[in-house]
This record gives sequence, structure tokens and C-alpha cells, in this order.
Amino acid sequence: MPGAERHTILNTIESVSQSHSGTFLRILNGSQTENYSYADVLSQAQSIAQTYRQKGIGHEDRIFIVASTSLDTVAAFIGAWLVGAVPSYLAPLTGKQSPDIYWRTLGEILATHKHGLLVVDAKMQAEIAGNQTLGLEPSRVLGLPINDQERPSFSPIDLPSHESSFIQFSSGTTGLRKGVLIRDDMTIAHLAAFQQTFTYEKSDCVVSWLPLYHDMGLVACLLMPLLTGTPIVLIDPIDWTLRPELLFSAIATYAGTRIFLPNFAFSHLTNCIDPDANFNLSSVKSIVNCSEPCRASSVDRFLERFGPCGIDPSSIHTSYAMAEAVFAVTYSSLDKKLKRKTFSEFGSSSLATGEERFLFSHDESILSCGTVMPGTKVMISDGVGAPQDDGVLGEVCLHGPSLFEAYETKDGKTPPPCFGPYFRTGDIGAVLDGELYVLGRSKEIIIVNGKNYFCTDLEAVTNEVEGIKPGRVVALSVMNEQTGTEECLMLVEKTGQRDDSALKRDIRKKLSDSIGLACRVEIIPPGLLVKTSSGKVSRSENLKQYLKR
Amino acid sequence: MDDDNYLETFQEILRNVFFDERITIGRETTAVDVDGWDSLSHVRVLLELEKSFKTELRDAEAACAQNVGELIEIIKARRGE
Repeated sequence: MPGAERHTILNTIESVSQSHSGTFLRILNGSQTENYSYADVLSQAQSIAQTYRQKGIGHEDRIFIVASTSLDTVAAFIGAWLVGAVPSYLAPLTGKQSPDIYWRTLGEILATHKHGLLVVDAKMQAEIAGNQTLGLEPSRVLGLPINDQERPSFSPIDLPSHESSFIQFSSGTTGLRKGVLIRDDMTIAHLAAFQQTFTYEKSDCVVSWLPLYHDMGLVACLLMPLLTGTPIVLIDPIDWTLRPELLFSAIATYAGTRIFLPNFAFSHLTNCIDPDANFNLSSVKSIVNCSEPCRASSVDRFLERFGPCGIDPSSIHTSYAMAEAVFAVTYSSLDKKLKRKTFSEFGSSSLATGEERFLFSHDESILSCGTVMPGTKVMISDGVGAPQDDGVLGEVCLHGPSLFEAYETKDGKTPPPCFGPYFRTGDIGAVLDGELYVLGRSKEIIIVNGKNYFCTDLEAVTNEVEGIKPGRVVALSVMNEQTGTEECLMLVEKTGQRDDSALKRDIRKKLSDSIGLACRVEIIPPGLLVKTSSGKVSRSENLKQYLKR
Repeated sequence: MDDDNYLETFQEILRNVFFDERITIGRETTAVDVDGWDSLSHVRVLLELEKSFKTELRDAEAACAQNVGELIEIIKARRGE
């Protein structure tokens, strides 16, 4: 592959490819395992890139990939870079979500990015063929796998200048769905910091079931391994959900060393694996808890169950991460024990809105998220942008070479909320003894099973259900200790004489169809929802009132 | 085993998985009829059904069953009933 001179994703891949030998990518597909070398992956990427070129896809065009995990799914992403395009993985249609709403959302993303291509697997292609509402021109859809008759012969590709790296999409319904555009230099900066902290080596083996449309699956478990030559084993997320033991079988079979898991996955593994099942997990060097509030209770239950399988307590680590920073913002050092604090060890906040909501009870152990990544700066801010002292709670604000500049929406580029150069995360935390603790959030988001949902989306959708008193709805986050993740609780006031159970069912169905989220619903007496002085329904106050009941 | 036995066992499993003694089900019951029945808790339901009815259920067919009745028919078929 011809390479550009500056340090870029493509010349990093070229450099890795020159020395890589053996298997790089393993894909567990049912009872079979597909094994590919680094050269196999690049060869496939080059082949797909030729197809992109034939379709007229080039510099800064967007390529949206919606496909189950396969060699082609990985190669389609890398192939985009070879023609200067900008790839993005999108979530496939699931059984829970309404197909109409899914296709409408997908159609709007494609309409926003006019010069783009949709890359899909055979299942998706069949669904598109039967879908009239999407109105896609056939030339804008590429089906995987590309069969041998269609596969163009390889010819060298002149690498274009390449500034944009990839797009990660936030959750949310159509109106609020925002793309985070990651530039090439941000990815390279993140790689440098990642290698000083997480230190992937070619002798490591990353084992992952995480979806590639999630920043942790994409960056920690595909891109960082790709850019360091670290072998990976990928398990289909749906297969893992049904059979969580697949993760441990893969670790045992391929001597897996590096694992990333959202907090709920610790609980899912503990809850669902046969208590008598045994695995050799002694190869594991680190399991990083990330993408959701890290809960000591989930980790402790996990260690109690799987410690005897060879998981050393010192291998459990944490990280605070977000798509807006490519991925990792903090890391807990691999050679230090995880610190724990309780609520009383932090000074109270002086935030402007008073709408912050805390995710931990006062007597619960709170795990440190570790130290800020090299090159990134964190400021704990009060409500107006002034830094807080050590140990005092405030809004977590970030600045650094991996931080993004703007969201891509259908209205163009939207700048993120900032205090000067610092990006306001909307999370509430404190720095204590040099480590970050995240205890709550002021932004209107609920994180369920590692996925973000906007409260305003949930409320808007619920308000459409017949029998709801207009505007008298609030979406709250309630911790579920059993599942290790947050639960969405909708508190609603009704109007008219509708039966409560029918109304609750309609709300759950509407939210499931529209947003793909299973919620708890409670109908409360009229007038009970508390509003702020500005007339908005208060999440923090209604949560307090609910927890008191 | 007749349908009532299946429903009774199924209902007991749902009550235990969702910690809610008020859950009452019929053959037409779907996930949206129960607070918090998502894809992960569905796996816990399938696991408990596997233990109770001594049959394999964690696969695409059972995961995609549209309601309790469909899932009971899958269990019966796999048990050769």
C-alpha cells in the first residue's frame, strides 16, 4: 500500500502490516471460527475499496455500514479510508424496534449525508428490497459479501489526503441523532495516549462481543488492535446476549488477555452463566469496566463467581470514555489497585441548575475512573465555568487533542457546549488524589445497557400516547442492582378514564417501537409531578420524591 | 403437561425474574405487558424456562417468539409433546 508521509491511520496500518504475521482476526460464527491474517483483512479492504471507486465514492463521502460481524464488515470500514471516504457503523434493525421507525431514521441519516453509500449484509439487503419507504437508489446500496463475479481485480489505489476518520452516532430519535465526526489526527492522538496507558502488545489477544456501532466495540476492540497489530476475537453481540458464556469459552480457547465490558455485562455474565460451569480465564490481564457508571457491587459479584476461574481482582480496571473524545478519557493504571470512595468523601457541588442527579446511594462504594489520559486535561467546573477545588463535585469538562469540534446533524455542524476550550460533558464528578470519580449527571440522558437515551426523546414519544395529560411526563433513571445498569422509569399523569394497565402497556409499546427501549411505567395522581421555577418538569426533584415513596 | 401448567410455571418465572408478584399472564402476553422486559432479561427468562422444562431455548427462534403462547409451543415441540 502506498503511504502518505505524515503519521496517519493509513501509514500506521501500512507499518503494522509489514511486520505482522499469524492470525489477526478471528470471527466466531456459530460453532465455526473464521481465521484471517492482517494481510487477508487488508486485501479484502482493498477489494471493497475498488468497488467503492466503481460506485463513484471518494473524498469525504460517507459510508454507512449496517451488517452483522464478519470479515467484510471489518474490511468495508478500512476500505472506506482507502478511497478517502468516512465510514460509520450503524445499529441494525432489532426485533424490538418498529421497522417503519427504523427505516425512517436510516433514511434521514442518508438524506443528511447526500454523497454517501449504504453497505449492508444479505439480511439487510433483503429487508431493503422489500421496503418502499426508504426510496434508496440501487446505486447507493452495496450488498455484502461481494461475490466473486462482481469483485474487481486489484489495482493499486493512490491514497488521497484524508482528514476525517470516521463518524460515531449518538443514540436518540431522528430529530436529536447527532454524528460525532472523528478526524484522523484525533484518532492518532488517541492511539498514542492509549498505548501509553492500556499498552496493547502483539502478544495480547482482545476478545470482544461488543457491537461495532458502539465506541467501545469500535475503538477499543477493533481500531486500537488494528493500529497496533493486536489480534482480536469477535463474537456477534446477539450470540453473546443469548449465550454470555461464549466470551469465556473464547478467552479460554485463544488465551484472551484484554477485555472491555460495560457494567451491565459483569452482571449479565454473573446472572446467566451456569453456576457449575468452569473456564480457564487465567490468561486475562485486564477487564476494563467502561461506558456506564462502574459499580463496585457488580464487580464484587463478578469476582466472587469468576475469581476461582482465574480472574485476579487486580485485573479489573475502569475507564471513563465517550465518543466525543474518540473513546478513553481516563484509565485506571494496570499496576495499581482500584480505589473506592463513598459519597461523604466529596465536597458538595455548586452547580447553576440544581438539576444534577446522582447515580449512587450515599453508602455505596464508588469506583475511581482512574487518571486522565496523557494529553487530555480535565476541569471540574462549577455552574459558570470556574474550576472547583480537589474533591469538590462539579461538571466534568475536558480539553485535549482527541476531543471533537462539532456534532454533525441535519442542520449542519453544531458546536458542543463548552466553557472556553473545555467541552462540557454534562457528567458530575470530582478529582480526588489525582483520580476522577463520576457520580452523576446534569445532562438529560439515561444509560441503559451501555446505550444512551435522551430523556427528552422518551418524554416526547410518551406524550404521543392517548390518555396522557399533555406535558405531564418525566423520564427518570433508577438503578437496578440485579442487572447492574440503569432502568428507565416513566412517571406519567393521565387524563380521562383509561384503564391504567392498558395505558401502561401502550406507553411501553410506543417506547419499544420508537426507541427500542423497555421501560417501567407508573401512573401517578394528577398534580403530583414537580416542576422547576422555570416551569419544566424537574427530574432531580421527581426522582427524590419517587425514591421517598 | 397441559397449557395451564405451562402458563403457571411461566408466570412464576416472570414473577421471580422481575421481582413482581403482581404479574399475571396469558398466552397473548408479550414483553410490553411487563415492566422492564428487555432483551437481556428475556435471556434470564429463557434460562429459567430451560431449567424448568429441561430443554434448550437460547436460540434465534425462541428469542424472537412474539408472545408467551408462541414460546410455550416452541417448548412443547422441543419436548416432543
